[in-house]
Amino acid sequence: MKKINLDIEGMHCSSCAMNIDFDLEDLTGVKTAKTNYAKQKCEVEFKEDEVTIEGILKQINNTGYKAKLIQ
Amino acid sequence: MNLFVIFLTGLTIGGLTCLAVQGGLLASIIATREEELTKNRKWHAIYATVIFLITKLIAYTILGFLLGAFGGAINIGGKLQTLMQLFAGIYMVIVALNLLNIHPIFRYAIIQPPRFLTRLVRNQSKSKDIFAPAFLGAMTVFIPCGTTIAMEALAISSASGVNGALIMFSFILGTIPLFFGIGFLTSILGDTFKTKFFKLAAVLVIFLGITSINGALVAFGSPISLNSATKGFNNLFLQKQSGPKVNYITTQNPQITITSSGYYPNYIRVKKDQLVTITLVGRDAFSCASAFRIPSLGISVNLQSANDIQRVTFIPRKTGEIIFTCSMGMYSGIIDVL
Repeated sequence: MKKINLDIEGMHCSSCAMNIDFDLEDLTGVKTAKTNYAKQKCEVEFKEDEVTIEGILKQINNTGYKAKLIQ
Repeated sequence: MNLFVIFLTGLTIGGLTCLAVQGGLLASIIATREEELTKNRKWHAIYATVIFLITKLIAYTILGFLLGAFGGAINIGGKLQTLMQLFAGIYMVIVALNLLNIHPIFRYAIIQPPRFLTRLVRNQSKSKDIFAPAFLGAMTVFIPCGTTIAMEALAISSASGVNGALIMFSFILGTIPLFFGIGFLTSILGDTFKTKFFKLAAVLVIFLGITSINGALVAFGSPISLNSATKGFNNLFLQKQSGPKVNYITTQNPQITITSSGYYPNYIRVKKDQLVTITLVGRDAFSCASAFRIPSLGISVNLQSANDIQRVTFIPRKTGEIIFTCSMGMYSGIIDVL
């Protein structure tokens, strides 16, 4: 299990955070996603052998937001 | 009540922010059931959307009624209500500033619904039940966006079940057209338009917020408000045109008719050091005008029904203008003490 933090761009209310969380959790391999609207950050916990960071970023992009990995 | 402005807010920014989330849920519930249907797909989508929107409208109207009634129930002496109105106004301005992306700090004012509630809504959107769109519509009350929360604050500050219900009804009614135009808006108009639209619409929320703050200031009897500012302006520049107020009779027993849109007359003259008895006559007064206040004298009288008659008595001890107003400061008038 790996944990990453992402910067999210394009959210305009707390419900956008909810959208991101649920779409991420629909992705196979993602255990939890916690997006904070105020901080514009997202914490994702996932299984490395089932999903890649690129896959996660792409999913957020599909939901309609931009995400960037915080190193 | 600025119901039309509230409707416009729903039509513009409210619709967009609601759509961002609820549109996705609605699409998801339509898609879930479509898999099982072989024909009548189009009708199914329309059915689901209409049912979803109708129950949403009903749920929010009920919520508005409860919030308004709650505001009325905790209304002790009227001061708390005015204070709440002030906060609602400030909150609306903050929501608008957040939408305009003025500073990241305003994001912290946006309440994030608890996870178990959002999960409940999400699960409902995956349900294949025929009533699922209806349940989902009603459940959207648990995932309000910033603008909706601002409207809910306004509903509380209206301190009346009926007014609260009207506020939420007008707002949600306004959001409905966008739900039908979702595909059109996102595909044709694109993101740049959306951003501009947001900014334009945020101005509406600021307007509502400032109206609310101003109303609270008037109701508090504050010497500084937009009304006093415009009055000062009128005194400075317009007095010569309007001329002296010669047509008003001075009486210690004036009658004020209260309708939903204010007080008639809104200017009365009385003499100093003599008992004044104002008769308040309600004529279908359903708005906040039915809650009559004289802030400087601490007088607070509510019509018990839309056509009720009440009396207010006091003895003015000094000459000058006394302001009377409704509980929200939206309608006001002057008692001139000679």
